[in-house]
Amino acid sequence: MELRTEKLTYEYDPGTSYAKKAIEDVDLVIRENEFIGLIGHTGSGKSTLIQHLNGLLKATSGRVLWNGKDIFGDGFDRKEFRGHVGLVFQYPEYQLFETDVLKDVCFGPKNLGLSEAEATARAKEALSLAGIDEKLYKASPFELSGGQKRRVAIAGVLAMKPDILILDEPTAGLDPKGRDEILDSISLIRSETKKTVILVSHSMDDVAQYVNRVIVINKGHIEFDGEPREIFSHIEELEEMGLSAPAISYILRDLKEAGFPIEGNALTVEEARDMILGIFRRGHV
Amino acid sequence: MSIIDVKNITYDYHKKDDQGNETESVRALDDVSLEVKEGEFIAVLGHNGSGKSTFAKHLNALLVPTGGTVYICGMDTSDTSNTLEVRKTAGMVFQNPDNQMVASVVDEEVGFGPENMGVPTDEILKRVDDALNSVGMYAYKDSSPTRLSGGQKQRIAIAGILAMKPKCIVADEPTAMLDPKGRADVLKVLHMLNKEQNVTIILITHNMEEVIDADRIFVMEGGKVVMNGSPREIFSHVKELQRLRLDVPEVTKLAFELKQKGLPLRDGILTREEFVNELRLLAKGRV
Repeated sequence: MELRTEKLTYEYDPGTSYAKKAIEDVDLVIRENEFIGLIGHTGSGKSTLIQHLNGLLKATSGRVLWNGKDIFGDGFDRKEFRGHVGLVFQYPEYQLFETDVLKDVCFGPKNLGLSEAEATARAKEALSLAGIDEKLYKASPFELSGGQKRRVAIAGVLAMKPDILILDEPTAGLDPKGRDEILDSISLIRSETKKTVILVSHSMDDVAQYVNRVIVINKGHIEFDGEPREIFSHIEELEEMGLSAPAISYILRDLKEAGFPIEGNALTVEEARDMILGIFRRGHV
Repeated sequence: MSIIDVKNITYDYHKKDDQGNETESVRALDDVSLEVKEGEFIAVLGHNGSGKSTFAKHLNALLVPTGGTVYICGMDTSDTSNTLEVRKTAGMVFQNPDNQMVASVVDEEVGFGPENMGVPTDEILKRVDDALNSVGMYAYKDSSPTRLSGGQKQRIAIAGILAMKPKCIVADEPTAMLDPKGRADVLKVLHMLNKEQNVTIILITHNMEEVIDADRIFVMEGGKVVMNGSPREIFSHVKELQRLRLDVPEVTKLAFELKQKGLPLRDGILTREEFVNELRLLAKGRV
């Protein structure tokens, strides 16, 4: 599986005085089982980019290739393709509409043309992956808690069996525990199903803790694409782009500036703890 | 006199079936009592469903209590003849900036509140300019709100409240949808209004890093206020907060973890500066 963009450019209101390039010359390759964090300030082009990845928007110039085939090429089956790249929008719980949880999750697979039995089987599998207990299958989606609703909405996309799951701010508005629970299930889904997950987030701490590749988009261009530890050591550049680094990266930078022999970067509390303990134990200070 | 005086309030939501008969009632607030003095910066924490937003809506009479009384500057919010004055005193900012914009130009947006209050035109124009200057958005006076970023829209929403000259701003997760810069800008504005204009701030948030500069934190659980204290007091209870589905700032967590592993650090470290200083002292002791 490979999703590739080539010189992807999208211009809003072309030919008018409001014309604005939302993304420009974006080259990306997305492969199997990656866990990608996509970050960028509001208006940086993130949403425009992800809408190209499943063909919701058609590029002004450049191409999106699914396993080498242009998704807007002649004879390309875009409906089938959208099953491969699932997009979970912000506040997806607002899109729940059915009378019970199971029916809501069945809606997608049924639309793909699957039989009732197949759709139900898929829905149950997706709900279990998303961590929704069987007892809730017959409940109205509107009786669930915020976190549960969001899981049901994610299950609705999972039931389409996408190879790539794109989630736009899946933790916005959730309490810290709810945030951890959602991110843990997303992480589990990825490791169990070998899907690729693209997490769009404004929380640098969440991105740092979970993903293994970070893509930073700024003014419609890819500024950084690489390993989180490396990217989050560019604190000043990230701040210039209206972003920030995880809290832990700031702590380590301050320690380094205060003369502590910190080498490299850590992304989680545990990593930083071990790094600091190491310094004290080795008697380096 | 306290600007906010909440006495033993309860609030019940009623669920109804399709015939309109009441099937169930849920107690969202359960015997909450608290006082806030003018000029305080209060943060309210609590997991989803703990009653934070229901509480916030009581502060400007969007909801009135089922039992007990809310006084805003001495005015009983359940007395409808006070409603307008209560809403002038305590203004609300909500989570989603897009749901709060009504006008097509920024200055009209900010002037909407005072215009509704019947403020004379000259005075409205002055208030709009002052409010936009306060939130650092004067340069966008003639822009369309739709062209602004989330953080900018939230600052416009705050300016819209400011133009009504409130004594108190209640902000219900105003940064939840913002990028790091937008988040920082909104917080800076709230702190500035608090310090320079003595506006009382009630900030509801899930972000622990945002509350360390508050004067006091209320922690809610099951419709009750279960903790009430300074950030340092509250965040020294790491385990208790985790049980309440909450968290502590990353630096506090790191200090806590190091202490568990035997480094003799003090409890309740809240800032990077404190943390670095503590480690420095520790390192000196070793040499």
